[in-house]
Amino acid sequence: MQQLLASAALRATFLLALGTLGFGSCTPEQDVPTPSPGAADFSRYVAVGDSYTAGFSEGGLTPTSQQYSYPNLLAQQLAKTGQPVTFTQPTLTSEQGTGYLRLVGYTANNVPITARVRPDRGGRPFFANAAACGGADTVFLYPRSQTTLPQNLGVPGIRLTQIETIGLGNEANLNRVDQFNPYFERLLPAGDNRTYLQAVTDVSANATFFTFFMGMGDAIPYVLSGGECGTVPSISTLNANAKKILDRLTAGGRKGIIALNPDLSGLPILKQGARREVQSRFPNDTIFIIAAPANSVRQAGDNDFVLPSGLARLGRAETVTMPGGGTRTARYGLDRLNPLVRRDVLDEFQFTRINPALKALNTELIRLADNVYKLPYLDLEVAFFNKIANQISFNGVLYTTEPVRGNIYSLDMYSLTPRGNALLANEFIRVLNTTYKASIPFVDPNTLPTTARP
Amino acid sequence: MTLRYLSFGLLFSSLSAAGGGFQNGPQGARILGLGGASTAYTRDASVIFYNPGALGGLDSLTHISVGGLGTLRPTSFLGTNSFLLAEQETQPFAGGYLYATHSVTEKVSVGLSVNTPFGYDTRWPLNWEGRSVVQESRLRTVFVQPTAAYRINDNFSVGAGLVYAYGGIRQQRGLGQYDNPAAEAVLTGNGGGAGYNLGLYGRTSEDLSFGISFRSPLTLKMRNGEATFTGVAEQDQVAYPNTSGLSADVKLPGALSVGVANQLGKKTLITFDFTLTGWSRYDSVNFTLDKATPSQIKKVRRYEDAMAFRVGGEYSYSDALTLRAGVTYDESPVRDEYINPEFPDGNKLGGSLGLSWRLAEKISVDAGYSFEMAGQRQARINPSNLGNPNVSGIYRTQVHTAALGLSYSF
Repeated sequence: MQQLLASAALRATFLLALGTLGFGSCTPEQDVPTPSPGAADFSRYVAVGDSYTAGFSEGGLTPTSQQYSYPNLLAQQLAKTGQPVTFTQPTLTSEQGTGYLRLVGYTANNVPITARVRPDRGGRPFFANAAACGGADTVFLYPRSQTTLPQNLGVPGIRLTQIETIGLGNEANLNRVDQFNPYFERLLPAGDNRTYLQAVTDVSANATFFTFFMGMGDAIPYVLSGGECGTVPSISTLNANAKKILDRLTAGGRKGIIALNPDLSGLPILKQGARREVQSRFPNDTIFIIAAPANSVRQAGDNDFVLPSGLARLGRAETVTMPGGGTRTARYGLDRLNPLVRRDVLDEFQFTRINPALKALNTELIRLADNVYKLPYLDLEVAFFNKIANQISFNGVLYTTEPVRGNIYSLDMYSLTPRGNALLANEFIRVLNTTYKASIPFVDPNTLPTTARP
Repeated sequence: MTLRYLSFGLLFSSLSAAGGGFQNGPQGARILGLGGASTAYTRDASVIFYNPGALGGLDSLTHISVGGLGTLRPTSFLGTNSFLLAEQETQPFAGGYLYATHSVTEKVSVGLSVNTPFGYDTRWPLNWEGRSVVQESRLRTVFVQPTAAYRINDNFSVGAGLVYAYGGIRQQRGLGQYDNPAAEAVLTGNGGGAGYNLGLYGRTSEDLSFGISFRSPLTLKMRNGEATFTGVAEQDQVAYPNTSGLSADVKLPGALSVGVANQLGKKTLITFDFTLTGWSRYDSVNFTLDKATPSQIKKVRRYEDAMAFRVGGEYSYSDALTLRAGVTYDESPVRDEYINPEFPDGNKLGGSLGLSWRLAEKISVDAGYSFEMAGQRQARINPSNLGNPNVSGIYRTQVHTAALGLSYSF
C-alpha cells in the first residue's frame, strides 16, 4: 500500500514538473503596443525641404537614395499606425540616377578618394557653364518624375531665398545661373513657371500633415566652396520666406513638425577639418592658410576649417616658386611658402557669417512654432547632429561622423546614408509620439544598407 | 517503465536553473525541493558544498549522492521603440552533481563535492534587434571541492574545503555595422581558478541546529581563448582580425550563508537560509586580444551584492516517502542601468517541490522541481554610453529547475 502510494506520489511530482515545463516553454507574455496615429492624421503627408528631405546621398540622387530618404522612412512607419498613408516620391528610374560619388580609395592622410559616376539624363539637354564659380560646371536636366508635384517636395540645393523665383523649374532657364534648379524642374510639368512656394501651396492643399526642414540648402554651397561661391543669405529673407512656406503648410490648422537647422561645425565637411583634428594628424607641424583678414598667410586658428579637398592634399610635398625666383619643395598647408588656398579653407570670418544666419533662422522658427502656429519643433542640433557628433550606439552598433566607416554620413560628408536617415526619421517619430500621443514604432537603422551607392 | 523513461529523459535532457545572477539553482535534488535552504540541513551529502561544517553533523554512514539537473529560462523581450517581440530559444541548460562523504573517525569526516553551481545559456534569435549586442552567450562551470570536517564535540563541528573550478565561455554577436548579415564576432575561452569553502555547524538543542558558511570568490583565468571575426571590411581588420588569441578573467562571487533547521515533532523539519552573494566583484568582463588594436574589449556589468531568502519544509510521510516544499526570494545583482540581453536577470520569487522515495534499504531516488518568476526588467538606453551598448526594452523571465538523483548510504 505504502509502496503504491509512494510510487503514485513520485509519478505525480514528475508529471507536475513535466507539465510545468511544458507550460514553461511558453515564453512569458508581453503587452505589445498597437501602433496608432494619436491625435494626428497622417493619411496625406507632405515633406518640404532641401537635399536632406529629397534623399540626396553620396553626392547625388538615385532610386536607392530616394527609397531611404527620411520622409519615405517616416511615411513607412506612419503607415504602420493602421491609417492608409499615401506618400509619393519622384523616384528616378535608372540606377545611376543624377550621378553619385563612388569610393576609389584613400589618400595617405586616410581621406576617402571619390570619383563621380555620370548621370543618366535620359537624353535631355545640359548646360556646360565654363565660367561657373570655382571652375567649369555642367547643369544637367534629369528625367522628369512620373508623378509631377509628388508629396516628397524635397529639392536638392533649394534655398529659402529662392522660393519665389519664377521659372526656377522651367527648362527654358537652364543656363541662367542661380535662377534654375534641375531637381525642381523634374518635379513640374514641362514649361511650368511655378515657384517653389506655389508648388508647396498646391501640394499641401489636400495634405493632412507636413514636415519642414529648410535652411541648409542656403548654407552648403557657400561652405563647400570655402566661401568663394554662393552668398551668405540675408537673415531677414530667410526668416520671411520660412514664414511664407509655413503659412501655407499650416493653413486650416494642418499639423506638422518644424525642424531646426544644425550647427554647421558638426558636419564632417567642417568637423574633420577643424584645426584641432588636423593638428592631431600632424602634431609637429604648423598649419598655414591664406585667409582673411587681408588675404594674408597666417596660422590656422580654432575656427578655421580645412575642407575635404584641402585635407586630401595636405602635407603633400610640392614644388613652389620662391618670391625671389627659384624653386624649393614645400609641403602643402604645412609650410608658410605653400599655404592652404582660399577655396580649401572656410576661415573663421566666413564661418561666422554663415553659421549665425542659420542660428537666427532657428530662433525665428522656434518663435513661429511656439507663438504663431502652436506646433512642435524638432531641434536637430540637440536631438540628432550633436548626439552623433560624439558617437552613438544603436542596438550595439556604433555610429560616428567618420566618413565611410561611421555609417551616418555619405561620401560627400554632409548628406546622410540610409542608416543616417533612419536615425533622423526616428527623431521625427519621437516628437510625433510625445506631441500627438501617437504610437509609432522606430526604424531600426541596423537593418538598412550602409550606403545608397548601387 | 514509464518512470524509468521519465527519469532518463529528465537526466539527459535536463532543464535549466538559476539562483541570483547566473547561479545555477540548488545543486541537488533534495535541496532543490527545499528551495535551497540547506546551510543547516544534514540529511543530504550536498551540505559539503553549502556548509563544509555540516559534514561533521552527518551521521556516521558513508553517503554518495549523484544526479542531474537542468534549467530552462524562457525570456521574452519587447523593444520599447521598435514594438518588436523577441523570445529566447528555450534551451535546457544541463548540470549535475556528485557528492560523497565518509567518516574516517568519530571526529573526522571527509567528502568530495563535484557540481555545476554557475552557468547560463542565452540564445536570442540570430536576427533579433539586439543581434549586435548579443546573439548567444554562455558560461559553463564545474566545481570540485575536496573537504574535511572536524567534530569539536557532540554539538559543534567545523569544516573546510579547497575549491578548484573550471569553466568555459562563449559569446557571439553580429557586427551590424556591415551590410553582410553573416558578419559576426565570436569570443571563446576556458580556464580554471581556485578558492576555498569554510563552515560551522552547531546544534543548540535536540530540535534546533544552525550553520554558517563562507565560500570564497574565485577567478577563472582564461588564457588560451580565441576570438574570431568574420565578414569584416578590409579597413577594419586592425580592430577585428580574422582570428586572435584571447585572455579573460571571469570573476565569480563568494557567498556568506546563515541557516537554521528546526525539527517540529517527529515528522516535520523546517529550514531557513539567508545568503549574501558577493556579486559586486563582477564589475566588468575584460577580454584582451593579442592581435587586435585596440586590444581590450570591456563589457561593463557593475553587479551589486545580492541577498537571497529561502524557507524549506520536509515531511516524512512514511519510512519510504519524504516530501519537500520550499519558497525562495532571490534578489538580482543586476542594476537597472545595466540590464542587458546577455543575462537579463530580475528579482525572483520561487516555489519548489520535491520528494525522496526509498527504493531499497540503502538507496533512495530524489526528485525536485522549482519554478521562479523574475520581476519585469526595463532597460533604458543612453545612446551615448558606448561602454555599455544595449537595447531598449522590457524583459520578462521565468526559471524552471528540475533535478533527479540517487542517494546511496551504507
